Amino acid sequence: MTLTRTVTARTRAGTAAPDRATEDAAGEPAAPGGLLRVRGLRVAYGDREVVHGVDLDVRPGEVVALVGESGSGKSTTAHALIGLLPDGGRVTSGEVALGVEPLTGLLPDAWRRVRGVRVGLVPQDPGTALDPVMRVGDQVAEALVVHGTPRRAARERAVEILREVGLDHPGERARQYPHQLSGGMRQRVLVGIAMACEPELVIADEPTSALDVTVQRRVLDLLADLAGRAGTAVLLITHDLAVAADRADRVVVLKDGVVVEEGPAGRVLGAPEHPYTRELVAAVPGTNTVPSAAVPAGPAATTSEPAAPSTALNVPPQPVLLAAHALVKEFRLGRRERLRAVDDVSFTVPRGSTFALVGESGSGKSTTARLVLGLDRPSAGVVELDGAPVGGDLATRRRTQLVHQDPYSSLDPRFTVAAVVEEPLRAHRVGTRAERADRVAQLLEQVHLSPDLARRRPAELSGGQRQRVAIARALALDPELLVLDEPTSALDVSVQARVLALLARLRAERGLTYLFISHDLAVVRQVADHVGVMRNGQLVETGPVGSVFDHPAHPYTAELLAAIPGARTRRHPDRKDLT
Amino acid sequence: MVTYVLRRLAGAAAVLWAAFTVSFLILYLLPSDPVAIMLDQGAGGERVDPARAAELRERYGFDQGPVRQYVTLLGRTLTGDLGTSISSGAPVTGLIADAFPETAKLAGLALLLALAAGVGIATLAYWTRAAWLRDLLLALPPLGVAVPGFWVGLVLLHLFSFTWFLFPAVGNEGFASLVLPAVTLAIGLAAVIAQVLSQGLREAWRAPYVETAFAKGSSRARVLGAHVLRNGSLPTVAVLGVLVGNLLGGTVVVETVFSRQGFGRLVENAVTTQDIPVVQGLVVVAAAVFVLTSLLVDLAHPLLDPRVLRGGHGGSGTGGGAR
Amino acid sequence: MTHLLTRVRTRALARPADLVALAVVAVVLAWALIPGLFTGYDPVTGVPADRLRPPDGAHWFGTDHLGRDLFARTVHGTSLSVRAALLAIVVALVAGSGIGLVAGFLGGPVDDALMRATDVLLAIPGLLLSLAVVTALGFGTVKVAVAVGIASVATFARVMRSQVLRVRHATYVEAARLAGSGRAAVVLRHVLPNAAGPVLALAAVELGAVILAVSALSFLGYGATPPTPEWGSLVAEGRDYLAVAWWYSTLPGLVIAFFVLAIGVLGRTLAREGRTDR
Repeated sequence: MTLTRTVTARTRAGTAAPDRATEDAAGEPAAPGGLLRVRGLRVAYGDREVVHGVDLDVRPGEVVALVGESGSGKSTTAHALIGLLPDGGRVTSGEVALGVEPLTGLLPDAWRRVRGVRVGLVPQDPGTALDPVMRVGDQVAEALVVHGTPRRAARERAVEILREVGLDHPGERARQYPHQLSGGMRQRVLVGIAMACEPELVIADEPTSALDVTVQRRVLDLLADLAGRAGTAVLLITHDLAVAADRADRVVVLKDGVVVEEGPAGRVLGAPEHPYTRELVAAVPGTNTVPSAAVPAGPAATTSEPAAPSTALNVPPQPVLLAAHALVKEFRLGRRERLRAVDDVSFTVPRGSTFALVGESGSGKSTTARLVLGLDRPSAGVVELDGAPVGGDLATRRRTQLVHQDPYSSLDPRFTVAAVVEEPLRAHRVGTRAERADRVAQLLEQVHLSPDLARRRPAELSGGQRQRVAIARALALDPELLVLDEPTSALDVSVQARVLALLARLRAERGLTYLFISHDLAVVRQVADHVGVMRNGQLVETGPVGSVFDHPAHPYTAELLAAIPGARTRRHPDRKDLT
Repeated sequence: MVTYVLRRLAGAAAVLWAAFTVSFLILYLLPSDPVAIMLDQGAGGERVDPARAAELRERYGFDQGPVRQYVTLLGRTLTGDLGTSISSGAPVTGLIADAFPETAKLAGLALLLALAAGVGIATLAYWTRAAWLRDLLLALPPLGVAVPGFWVGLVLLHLFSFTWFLFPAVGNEGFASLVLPAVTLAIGLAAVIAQVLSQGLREAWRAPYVETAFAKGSSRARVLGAHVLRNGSLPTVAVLGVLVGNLLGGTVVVETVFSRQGFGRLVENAVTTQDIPVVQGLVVVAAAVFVLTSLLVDLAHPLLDPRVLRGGHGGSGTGGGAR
Repeated sequence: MTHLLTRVRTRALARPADLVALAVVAVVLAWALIPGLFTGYDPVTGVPADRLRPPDGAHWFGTDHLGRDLFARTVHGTSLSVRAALLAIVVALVAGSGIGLVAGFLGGPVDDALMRATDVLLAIPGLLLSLAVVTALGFGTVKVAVAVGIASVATFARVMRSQVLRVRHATYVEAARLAGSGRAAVVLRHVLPNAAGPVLALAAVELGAVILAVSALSFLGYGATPPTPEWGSLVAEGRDYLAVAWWYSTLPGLVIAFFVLAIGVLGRTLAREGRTDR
């Protein structure tokens, strides 16, 4: 055991140290029969060490999830294992062994006999991980050719592999280029490449984080299926605890380059021991609420709960604030083609409640939000606030504000935090300069930002802090309706939980109404009163959250719900044996 | 594919027409009197003879309104007639046709040398594992871009013609006379090619598909040959038209330094004598060379990058796959 | 911009190459501003007895065919050459960014028309375009500078337009619109400040190319009239004495090369800093 590990063990809560010891004792006997054995792995970029002595074991045929938030070193660890660290990165100490063969200090030629044959890699982003100018079939065949398969045989086998990963017309697909395939299909091709030589271990680095939830589920099913048939072990790198819970036999939790907890998936996620793991588990939306429970906060929530699971929306006492009537938005795609991004969408949102629009990418939910905000004009239909149609004028702008998805691009990099929050006040000529400064300070306090941050620039803030600044800006003019466009999807799960809590509190304190756009059903379940499910521009189902989630009326809603990761621990304990 | 070709052809014709228009605007409509300029050349500062000025105005159509002038000139140019030189009275088309072959040889050789050197430097820099060699190679292009072409020509002349007597200093006689001018012309171009290509290769090396290829177990040589070179050369191919155009511009200086006859010398003479019809003809021909090169590049582009033909079914046999 | 400059000062210029380049640029600028401080010789009248002397302690760059000190001529020629280059950059920067800003911000048919026009400027090789302008305007350093500037307008227009488009579609600009800011406020407070960095960095990078173009035109004899010294024409004068006086063309040319190289190093550093700034 290395020095740092002892130190980290000691810095943790007093009770944690003995756990560590028992875990180690339990882990040692497995090592001889283990497939991958990592001891004391340290990785540094230049002088900065980012992985501080990681131990990891993967047994043959086992699925191990390496879980951590951004910056935890999980991806670096994965790349170090396969010898593909980016420029400037290097393994400074530690041992990695695959079976009996050490992988540390391998020469390039020796690596070539390991990569592809014994260890496969499923990369993170299917959009860029395939060579854009090479035919898909050739890229699969390459994985075989470089290990000695004759070219013709490799090409034939590549078509078979494409069929095995579930591509329609594999013969034609093999002659296509990556840009002609959808994201899910590309990720299937990448799974096929990783599994082409039936390796002993596949490292899957966030293989589905760029994909929609239903596609994500199918790709993960495919990976599990192929790996299961070939007896391949899987090291699944993920930020998503729910995915880990669904897919892994064992879970290893990484924080700041150190393993803080490891064990069987059911135990780690069901009864986490380390405080950080506990925090992570608690932060996962949906896991800490009873499935059919009412959503907290908001006067409308309680009144809407007993409502029948029909599409009829809320009844008084709360009057309707926002109403969308038969909204249509068409985009021209060339001379004759048109895309109906929003197709006859109607819904109402009572004052003080949260209405969530959910759907996968391209479903039209963000376009609907833009129509509500007056950023785009609808091709047909009306948006009403308090019964009056909305125009693009300043008066409406004051009443409706937006919190963007990406806090990294929604703040001008040249503005200070104070200037960002003050901008709406300046634009509407509110108060004197001193009054505005007071108001800015007040707003920052409301979103729990220290006044010291007022003079910083966005680049000096964390993602969560930036999103708080964006929320403060949105609140500056005392709007009634806040449109939240995926407000937490760019954030780590623990940060997401805090931002969601802040939003819930602000809504309760200020009587705000939220239109919440999200692809994440777990989040929606936690925050919304009513939900509308969008697909291909149409609203296929609306209703109170409880009834839509528990008794989906539309088959697509049911499919979406079934695809939510984390279902195994809550609802389908039978999907895979936990113990 | 057919619509793609047609669209490129139409675009090329439009650019050519626009280049003609721009040169017309510059040469005939800038606030200066072309006739006064023309007469000034011969008169050496004396008073311009009004009768002669009027005659010239009529001969070259300057007495007409700008729109009439433009239409007349455009119509003539479309039939391949670029007018007559003011200083020599010879037809511009003939002058350019006589000068062009010599310059084509020079520019062609320079292009070959520049491609060999530029591609060689960039490829070697990203082939080698030795960091010192890469740094050395990548330091060359900024140097090549910074040295003035006319100065390089003079230094080469001094060394190879006047000190070591290896190559002739002037003239168009034989291949030996071509070497020094071509090298001079090639240095700047090679530097630009090396810069653009190494930028492309650097980005391609960092692309995630390179990691995918390594993870398959491919060797470094294979990754470079099959993935990095092809993707990394796309930006270079895209600017080839501009580079060839600039090569033609560079001949003005190089042919002057080495006293060669050709396109560049013709430009230099025409500008010095402010021979407006010749200058316009040369500009239009240079634009035509750019347009033709770009057209060839555009037509070849889908073979290198299938994404250019959006939505189509991959195009016809590129066969560029695994190699 | 000041933000950018401080970062360049504090971080990037720690690299030795940047320090050397900065020193070269500083020396050349000093030549341009106060040439008398660096040489006691007269740049215009020479001592016929001293004609075509090779470089030595008295004449660092040797002397020319009229016995004038070549170092003095190079130093005194700096001002004209550098001013011409700066004028050319200003012409390109102002006209190009103006076109790019209008095209990028208005969009639609205006954008199409302006960008087609700049495409055409790119279709004519830069040097030929400059020569055509010189033909129309006549000879002289200022006219050469304007001609070179016009040839670079298209590059600036394109970069400015792409920057404006990038910023205009940035979500923080959308947020500003939602906050109620008007068009003018958005352009002044968001678009221009965020687009300016890369455009100014381009100006620094282009400065080297512009110096070369101005020198080339002056080498061809379209710049200053003799005996006024200018970098390009100095090299041209030496051409006739190539066989007997190697230093005549070589040393002034070397000064051009060093200066352009130094400008290039600094320009690329600035451009890199501009990129990491965001």
